Amino acid sequence: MSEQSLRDLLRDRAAEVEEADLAGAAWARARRTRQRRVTAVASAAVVAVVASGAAVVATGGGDGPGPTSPTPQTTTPPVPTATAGTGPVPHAVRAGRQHGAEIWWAPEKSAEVALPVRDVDGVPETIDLSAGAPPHRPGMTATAAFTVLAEDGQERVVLLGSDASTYSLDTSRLDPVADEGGNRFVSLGDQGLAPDGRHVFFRQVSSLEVYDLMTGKWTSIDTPDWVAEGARWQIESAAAGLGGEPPAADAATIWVPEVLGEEDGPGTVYRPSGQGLRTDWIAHYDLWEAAGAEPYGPQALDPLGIHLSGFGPATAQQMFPTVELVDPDGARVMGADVVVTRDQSFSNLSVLVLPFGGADGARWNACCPVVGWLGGPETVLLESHGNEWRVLGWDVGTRRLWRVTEVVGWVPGQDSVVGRWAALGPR
Amino acid sequence: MTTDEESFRLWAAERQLALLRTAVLLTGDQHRAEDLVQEALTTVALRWRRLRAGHPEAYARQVIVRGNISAWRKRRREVLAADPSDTPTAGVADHTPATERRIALDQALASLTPKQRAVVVLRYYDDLTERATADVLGVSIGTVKSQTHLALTRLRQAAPELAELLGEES
Repeated sequence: MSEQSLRDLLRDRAAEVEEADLAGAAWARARRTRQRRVTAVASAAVVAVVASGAAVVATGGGDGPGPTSPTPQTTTPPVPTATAGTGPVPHAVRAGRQHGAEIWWAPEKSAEVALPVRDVDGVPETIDLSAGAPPHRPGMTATAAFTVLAEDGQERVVLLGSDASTYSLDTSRLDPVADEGGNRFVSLGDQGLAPDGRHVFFRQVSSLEVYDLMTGKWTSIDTPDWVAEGARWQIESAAAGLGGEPPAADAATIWVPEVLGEEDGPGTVYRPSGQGLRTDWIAHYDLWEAAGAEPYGPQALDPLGIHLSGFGPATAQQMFPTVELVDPDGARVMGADVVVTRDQSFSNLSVLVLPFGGADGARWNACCPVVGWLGGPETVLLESHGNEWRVLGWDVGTRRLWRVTEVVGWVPGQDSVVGRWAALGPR
Repeated sequence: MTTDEESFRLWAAERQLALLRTAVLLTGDQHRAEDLVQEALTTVALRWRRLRAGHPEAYARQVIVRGNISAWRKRRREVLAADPSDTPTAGVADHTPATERRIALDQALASLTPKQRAVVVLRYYDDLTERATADVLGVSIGTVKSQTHLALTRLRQAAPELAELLGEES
């Protein structure tokens, strides 16, 4: 009776609310947001750039040689024609120039298993995220860091060490966290592993907790509430464009936004030790403006380009175009995920379209975060998520696609997985 | 076959009033409510491909509820004095009993924390279960139970004229 009375009171009150047309502007606003968020991160006031890496939510993996790994394979291999003597090898197919970019169409997910394998130093054939990995011992950097969030809310952090083995990391000192909207997120986000693989940071409500994988020491960096959510690693590149020396080994720094929820604008740069260095401004530029493409996941910059190019590093980003694309057979396709790459001239765009494929073997929405560049602007590594999670390589602007590794030890539909990769290639 | 934009517009036009009503009850302010719904619809639009086959309204409601709590947190840091528009005017006279009840309800709801208010609105206006309410708020069922008890107690204290309607136990 009393509950019903409260319901009646609330309904009477709600009935007085007059309708307002809010739906009409939402789509246009979303489109503008997509365009604004297309990123090509650059630093306007200070020469510091975000470097490499990639992320996964509820799916992905990636690959990349570990921080101490030798120079990865960078020579241009021939186009494979067969896989282990079993029929034709899948490859990308060119679909012409569309919306200012060269379009290439990847095979469906079910064909990935037939792609030729490309070995990458420091990355095993499979990466197992199952519980029970031996504990990480200080002294070993990481090639990748993953958090597996199970349905029951339990998290486990798994590191891919520079020796290509997996290790667990004890994070019991951390609290569960949610973003400023109240949405639960894993404390090791898609930006948490440093490009040099030495540190990982974990986001807390009012701090970043930084773990040094070499010394085993934790450092706490105080932040205003919630803003740590937007923190990311950078590589200092004072030498960029100046012909100077490569950055020092400890040149990975953390940028923390000043404003909650902002992805660009002013922020504070910290050393992993917690020392504040300066205020830094990050600006965003549209990467594939002609397609109104919305970015997903981190952007990967070629770490060599950061230091050696006078123009800027080659850039790769998973995106969702808001325009139709035409496949190699002439069919119009709306809603496919793509990986967009831009070369160092800032003018040439090459796009790999990742079609969904069939119902059983479909790629997931936002399937394909970029892992990073494989030692230069020729090969980009990307994830392909579905019920199977693989890392693929694409020799940009060619038909050559590769299978690099498979990430196992998680349960599709039950576990959410977030991953972050260190910079690929020599540092 | 409808495009993403067409299907979104159809859905949003159909559900915006229901979402706005929830938002007004959560905030007590028409303009803030419209801002929250606008933001929620935009968020849904950004994710429409993934949400359209699922439960976009539930997602939008979650964005509204959590957005309101988040905004309250930020305002709490930024504003030392309460915004007068947050507190309905007391002592309004010469109204019909229905109007007086409505004003009393607004005042009583304003005395709740955003989370308590959300629990009341989600449980008693949107008729969500305790589990669904917990999911929207990102809290445990136990928290929903305790917040509900606290909220109803506070409502009775804040609006004695509604106490009879609300009863001693809810």
